[in-house]
Amino acid sequence: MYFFIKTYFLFFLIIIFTSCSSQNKKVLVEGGKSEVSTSIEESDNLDKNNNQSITVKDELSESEKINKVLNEKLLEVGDRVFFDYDQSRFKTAGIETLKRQASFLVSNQDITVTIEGHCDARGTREYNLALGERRAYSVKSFLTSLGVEESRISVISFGKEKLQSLENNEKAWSESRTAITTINP
Amino acid sequence: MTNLSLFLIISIFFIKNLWTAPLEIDVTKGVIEPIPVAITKFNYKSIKEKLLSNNIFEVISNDLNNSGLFRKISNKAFLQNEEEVFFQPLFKDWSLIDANLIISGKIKIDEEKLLVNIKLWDVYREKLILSKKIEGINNNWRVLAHIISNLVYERVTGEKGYFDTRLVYIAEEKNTNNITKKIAVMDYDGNNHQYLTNGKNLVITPRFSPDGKKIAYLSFSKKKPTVYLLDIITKKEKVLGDFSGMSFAPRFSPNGEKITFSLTKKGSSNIFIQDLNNNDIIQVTKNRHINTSPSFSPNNDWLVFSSDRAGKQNLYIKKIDTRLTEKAKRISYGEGNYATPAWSPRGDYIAFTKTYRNEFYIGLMKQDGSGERIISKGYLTESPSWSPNGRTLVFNKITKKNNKLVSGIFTIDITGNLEKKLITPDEASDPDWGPSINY
Repeated sequence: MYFFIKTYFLFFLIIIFTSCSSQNKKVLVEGGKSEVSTSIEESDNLDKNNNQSITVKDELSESEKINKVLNEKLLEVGDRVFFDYDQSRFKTAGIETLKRQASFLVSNQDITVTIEGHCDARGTREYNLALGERRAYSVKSFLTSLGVEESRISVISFGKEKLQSLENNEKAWSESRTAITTINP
Repeated sequence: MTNLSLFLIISIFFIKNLWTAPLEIDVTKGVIEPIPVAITKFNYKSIKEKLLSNNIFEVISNDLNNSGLFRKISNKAFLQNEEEVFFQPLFKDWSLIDANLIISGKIKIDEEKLLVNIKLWDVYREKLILSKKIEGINNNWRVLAHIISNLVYERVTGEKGYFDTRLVYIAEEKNTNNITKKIAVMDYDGNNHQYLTNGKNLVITPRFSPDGKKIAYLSFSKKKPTVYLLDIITKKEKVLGDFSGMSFAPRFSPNGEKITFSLTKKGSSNIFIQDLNNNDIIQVTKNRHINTSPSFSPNNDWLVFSSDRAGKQNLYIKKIDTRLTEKAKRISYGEGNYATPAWSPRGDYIAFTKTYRNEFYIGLMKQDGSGERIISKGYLTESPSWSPNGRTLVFNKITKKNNKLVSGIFTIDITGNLEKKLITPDEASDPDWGPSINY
């Protein structure tokens, strides 16, 4: 009996492993955080295919669970603001987003964040690194003006190295001109 | 009066042209037809030597064709027996097939040593114009062949050759959602290709040290992007310094003693210089704007850089030992943005990227900002870097093919007439031209 279960378990592991690796590619764009929900999806699939009531989930530590919830909250609040071409002051629509971010950060004193500054592909590499830094810093200044401690916010610029879309049209470029707030793990 | 002076200028120009022998090419002026050159296979005795003779022939042919200044005549058209040419060409035979120049030679392997004699003949003047003996190590035959190309190029153009140089660049592997970037080095013609990093960390903007032994680059391996120095031979890397902000846009001084770069603080980027011997750091710009892409003048005393202090990006120059409060001098006054300046090793030009109305250009101007001239344009062009002789540039160009973007590295001479894509295994960006070998 024990052997039987063990074989089955191994079998599932293999299935999960293979599906994981194919799923991962799809997920990458959104970042690692969504991996949790992916594995739940897979177990659903397995249920349908094999008609067995076995579910496999990633075991999260307490802190990971909290982080997952916080990340979802941040997405609800809005994790990013956008910029016009060659501008480091975020678009006015971002003000409301950042106000929500600020109150989220004020009510969750335990977390620290990094603001990633990004540019579109239509600029030179070194200038874009500097511009990305300036964008991230302008978000940081706004958040601190709303009462978030400066020490809780670090900035990083990716210039044009991590485009939000590799397509080559105005829509893709405007998506890439962004500053994204991420919770430090 | 104006007519007279114009006439004088024209006649001086004309006379000067008459004086110059037909073989001399002025690389700075608009380009003339490539010179037809006959390259004979070098004389040999043993089978081993024959093999090398063929290889050397291929390398020289490729170098001279690549330069765009020469056109190789097919060996099938030769009338004279190739072996005899080394001793005495029958000039009439060669002028019949329109050869202006003949390259002939002899090679000898002596254990580990490789000895090559070359002779360059001017067909119309019926004269031997270059005769050299080159000695090296056997398995260095490729470098030896490049040096032969250099000697021919130098004799004809009066400029130093660059066929023995190497390039460093970023190899880009495109996947659906991201791009893997690795530092790669190769000979200027694509041979001896080698990756120096494995793609695990995001790396950009590699720059050769003037001795060709080190590479400065920006790595995102840590939480804060930082400039690293990589030793090409030992593969050891070390961080340039522990700074509070992001350090980026590194470039060595021509004497190799210093490195200049940008450093961020509170959203601004300013320019610094670090002494590589004692790690002393001086600050060159101090304002709340973006100051980046610094490049040294050939005498190590000045910097040219790009700054948006006047609203849009322009080029500025500043003497290094002046006070921090001293204002830099703006040199670009045209429309659009000016970025990534690179001071020519000869000091005569500053190359730059210009963006205007969503078009990208590579251009040149004098160090006082005069004589601006565009030499290339594209969907996206950037980061020109000079060949050691200051007559050719390598730069990054993204071309659009069926709405797909392809990033590659291109060379172009300063006339803008000879643009050529370099063959790389992957897509490529951020090229930097390494030094020449001393011989």
